[in-house]
Amino acid sequence: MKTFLARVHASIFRVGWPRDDRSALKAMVSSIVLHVHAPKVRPATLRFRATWAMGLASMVLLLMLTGTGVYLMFYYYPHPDVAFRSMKDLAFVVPFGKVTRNLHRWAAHGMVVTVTVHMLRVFLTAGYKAPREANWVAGVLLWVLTLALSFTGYLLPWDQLAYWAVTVGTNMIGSVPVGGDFLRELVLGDASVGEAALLRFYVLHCVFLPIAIGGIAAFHLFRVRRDGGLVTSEHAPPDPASVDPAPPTDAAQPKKREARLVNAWPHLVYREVVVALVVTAALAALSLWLDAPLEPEADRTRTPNPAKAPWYFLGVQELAHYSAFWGGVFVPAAMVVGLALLPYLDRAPVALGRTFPRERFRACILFCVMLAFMGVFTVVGTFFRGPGWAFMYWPY
Amino acid sequence: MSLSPESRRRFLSLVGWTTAAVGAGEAAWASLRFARAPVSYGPPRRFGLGPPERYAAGATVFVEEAAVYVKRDEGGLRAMSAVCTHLGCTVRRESEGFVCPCHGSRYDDDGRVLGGPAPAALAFYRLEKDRRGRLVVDLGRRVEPATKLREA
Repeated sequence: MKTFLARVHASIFRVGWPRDDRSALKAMVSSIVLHVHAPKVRPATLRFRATWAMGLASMVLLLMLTGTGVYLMFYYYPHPDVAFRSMKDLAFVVPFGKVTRNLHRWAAHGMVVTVTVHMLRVFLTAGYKAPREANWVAGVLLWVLTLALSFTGYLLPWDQLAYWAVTVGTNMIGSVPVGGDFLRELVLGDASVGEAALLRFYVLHCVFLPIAIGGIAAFHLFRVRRDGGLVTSEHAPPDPASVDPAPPTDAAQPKKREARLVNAWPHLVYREVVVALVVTAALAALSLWLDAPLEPEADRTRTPNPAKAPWYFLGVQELAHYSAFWGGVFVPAAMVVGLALLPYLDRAPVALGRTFPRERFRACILFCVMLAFMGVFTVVGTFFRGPGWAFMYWPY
Repeated sequence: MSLSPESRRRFLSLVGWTTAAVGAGEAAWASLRFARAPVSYGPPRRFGLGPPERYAAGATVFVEEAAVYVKRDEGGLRAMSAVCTHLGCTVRRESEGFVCPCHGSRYDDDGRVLGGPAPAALAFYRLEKDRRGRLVVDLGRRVEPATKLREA
């Protein structure tokens, strides 16, 4: 029996638990999970400062969302007659139903945060510059898909919040001067939010968008390696103020670089496990402590006052408060297009791997200010808008 | 006329790519047509509003299912949309005029914009009577705000 189990184990894991450098390298290339990594990595990329661990955190949350999402699908019916009842069942009848929904909800919110912070980090360290332009564009797409997944998922509980947030959101699409109504009805499958819209959002949320985000995420990870690994300050041209007094000769250089690499096992893999555990623990704690909100069932005839979008869209809603098309569609669309074109428009000298380097101090400040602006609009929309979207000085 | 192998190859390649592009275009068009729903199971466009006597002179009554305010004054009856022209939330009656809860658009008693992001005044819809004399509003047909259903 023991030899049988050993044979099964050996047939799956060609290389045993790594005991030395050699078997560690073998393990990295022979395992389907581990071979995503390079077998050897630069120590600088292992520092927290180099990545803020936000890409990995996003990936962990995406996996968590897939798992909990599939579970929720066992109990969810995408039809207006019964959708809300499914939510009540999850909350009050299904064992661990409430915590599963909480995990899904808070992981979704968390992923919006981690993907956005990841983008901020890549911008600050100029990780989007050649040869990584295409991967930056893929990253922008992943950010948009993350928001699209949030938006489509938002309708599914079929409560008041869901119904009116999506009514407002899709009417923003309708405000596009040319083809807006066509697009809006394409998304809704009807003239207003109803059973057709719920089914479409369900299919987009559970099938179409997850496949899209999975495919692009695979490209994104593949290109990280193909583009030469993570950006670190080693890529930066030497700071003229602190040039090494005796630079090594060209012949000595490659040898020196080679020596600076460390094995991905255990140095990288263990750190990844730690990040995954921290994210999971934080999410579990949050989900046990805070319940995902559920308002009364959707009612076409009664708009709640105030009717608010989810917090990460409140910045856009705040802009839409000034003009549906210019604030709600044009500014956000221009922002996404601008972000995607950024690496092709940027002509500043390459300065990689450091945040706020002298050469692109202004660009970094500008990006932070832009993000802060969206942040301020979001905070105003969340806390300082009361009934009738009137400004309140003190929210409580 | 004889063609060199190079130009023949170029021509055939052009034909091939053009065919592929046309095919892809047709497929894209067909998927768009497919996604555009031809049938609506949503709320109807015509709503029965009951007997006209239900609406007292000088009153403004909200009819939930149709999302309209029915108003009666000296000249007759009118049906004003309760759907905000900004982003489609249902406007509420205030002591004077109407307010949208979503982004704070304000309208006067006749649906004209007083403030907020609303780009246009509230719509008025055609009112008619069915054979038994009950009111019907047709949300598919807009009318001028001054149009009133007069009673004989």
